[in-house]
Amino acid sequence: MPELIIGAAAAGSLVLLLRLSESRGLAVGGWKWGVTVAGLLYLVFVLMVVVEFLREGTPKGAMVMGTVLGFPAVVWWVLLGRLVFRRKSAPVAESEGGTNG
Amino acid sequence: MGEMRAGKGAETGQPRHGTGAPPEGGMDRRRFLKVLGTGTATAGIGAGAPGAFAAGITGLGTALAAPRVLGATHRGVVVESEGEYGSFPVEQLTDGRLPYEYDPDLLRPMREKSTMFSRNVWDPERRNRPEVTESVTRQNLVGGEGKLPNQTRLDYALMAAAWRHASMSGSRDYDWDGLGGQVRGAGLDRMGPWDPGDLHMSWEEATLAVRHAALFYGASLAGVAELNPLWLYSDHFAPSRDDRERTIPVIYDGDRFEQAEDAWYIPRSMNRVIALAFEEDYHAIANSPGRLASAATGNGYSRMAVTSSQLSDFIRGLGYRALPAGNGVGLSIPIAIDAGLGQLGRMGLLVTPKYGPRVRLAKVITDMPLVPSVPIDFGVTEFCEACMLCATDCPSESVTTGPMTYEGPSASNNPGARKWYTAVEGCYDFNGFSCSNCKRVCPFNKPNNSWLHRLIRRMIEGRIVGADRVMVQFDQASGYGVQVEDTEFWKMDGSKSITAREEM
Repeated sequence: MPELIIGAAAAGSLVLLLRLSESRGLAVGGWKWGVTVAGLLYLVFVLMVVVEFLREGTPKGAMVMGTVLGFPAVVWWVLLGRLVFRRKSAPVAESEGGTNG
Repeated sequence: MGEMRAGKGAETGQPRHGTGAPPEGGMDRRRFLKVLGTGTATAGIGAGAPGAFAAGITGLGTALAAPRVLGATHRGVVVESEGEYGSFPVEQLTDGRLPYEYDPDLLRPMREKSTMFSRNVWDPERRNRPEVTESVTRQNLVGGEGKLPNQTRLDYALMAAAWRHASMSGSRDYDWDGLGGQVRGAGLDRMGPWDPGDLHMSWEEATLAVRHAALFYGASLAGVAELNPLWLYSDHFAPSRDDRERTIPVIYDGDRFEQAEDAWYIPRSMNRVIALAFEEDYHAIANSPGRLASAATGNGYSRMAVTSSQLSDFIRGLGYRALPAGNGVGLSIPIAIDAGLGQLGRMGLLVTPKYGPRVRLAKVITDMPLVPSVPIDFGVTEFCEACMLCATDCPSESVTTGPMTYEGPSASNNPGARKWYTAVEGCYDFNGFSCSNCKRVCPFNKPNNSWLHRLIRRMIEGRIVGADRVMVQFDQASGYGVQVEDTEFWKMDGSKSITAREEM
């Protein structure tokens, strides 16, 4: 059951990211989607590890391995958010000119 | 035989190599990973497991399903079998090598009189040790009014009953010629030696049938080896009222098969041995050094006696000789290694792929011409070199942190084999002979019910440089190997306990 939830959440996240990129008008290239999907798969792996430890009755293992493996996942997604999925802001000079004019 | 089966170093006169990295025969890491990665289901050609009959047996239980061949190595083939190896990819050494080495000039058959159990009877140093006079049971059970954690009356009762058949078996179950059950009544013993051809079976298939019978009678693992006489005791310790040190020779020669007053006679024709392993309960071992671990030990000993005697009767019913033995007659661990059940670990115990060191061993020596199993190597030596958990967690410091040697520190060590020798006196004396901490903390001890453990096992077998130490660190950080309180054990759903019968 947890596997189904994780899988569904991963698929849902991918759909959300697609819509997000469309709504923000981002031109996300092929390699960027590759990195995104890889990040998603890694996140799924980390969650599966945590679930497996909990299922086995080893909460300490879930916490430790969740932290150790989860840290790269957090870094990965922060970088993806900043470099790939961040809304591009308008050029500063153009913006200032518009206000004053 | 000894020289023939020692490592290649013995044959060439070159310095010996451990199983860690034998340059001429070892498996290159990259090659192994490639093999694992590209392995395909080449089912049905596992060593010693012929197709049609194996398939029939598989229908009765998963334990004897033909191993899945993953690829070839310099020394044999890499196979995977959930029933036999718990999904651990193992290398079957089909080129005749063994996963250990010994010095043929140094190794001699061990004297049973030198074992710890025997020395406790005759050796003055052992007889007068404080542990004999200070009863741990009295202190824990009576002194603690049956309420001491992990030493409660409930725990003691489980332990005491677990030893029942082991305690009774000395004279009965390990009988050499006893035809119990209905073997004699059915007249099976008068029908002469059975020929598998009568049922259109080969000897490979007959061997599979005998191994299946062993599992049917209660063994968790069963393998067959050609009997190496070096593993038989040179004497039988038989103390009497008058002579506490009395021994009689074990004579492996001729055709006489008898437990006589003057000697034990085992005929040369009895050149096969069936090694049996019995899984000990995972959660009970996790209670070590509590009484529940001793209950698991006792349960193993009882099953050893019952199963080996039943299997012996089965063989006798087929018209062959059979000699069941627990710890007696010979050394069970090298026999089990020869029979492909596992490898030797740092703690001096057999480490099996499926259960780790969490097993008890017995054997049945026979003249039934069974086909020997193939010895295996799945990276135990390399992992034990990096791990050290059994040594650092041994409360009596009996397990060495040093390198492998050809001699040990104890009078009960039999020199000649290259291994980690254990200071067995401390091991025996700790906590009234009730400690399985080395088994509890061993990373190979894990059950086979998690894909995570399977993943780690692939990494261990892959022998990735430096990975073993990292895995041990994570194992520790994850909380494995800690003592489980008896109260937790008793709260568990017994049907979910890890037993030999669990479907993995």
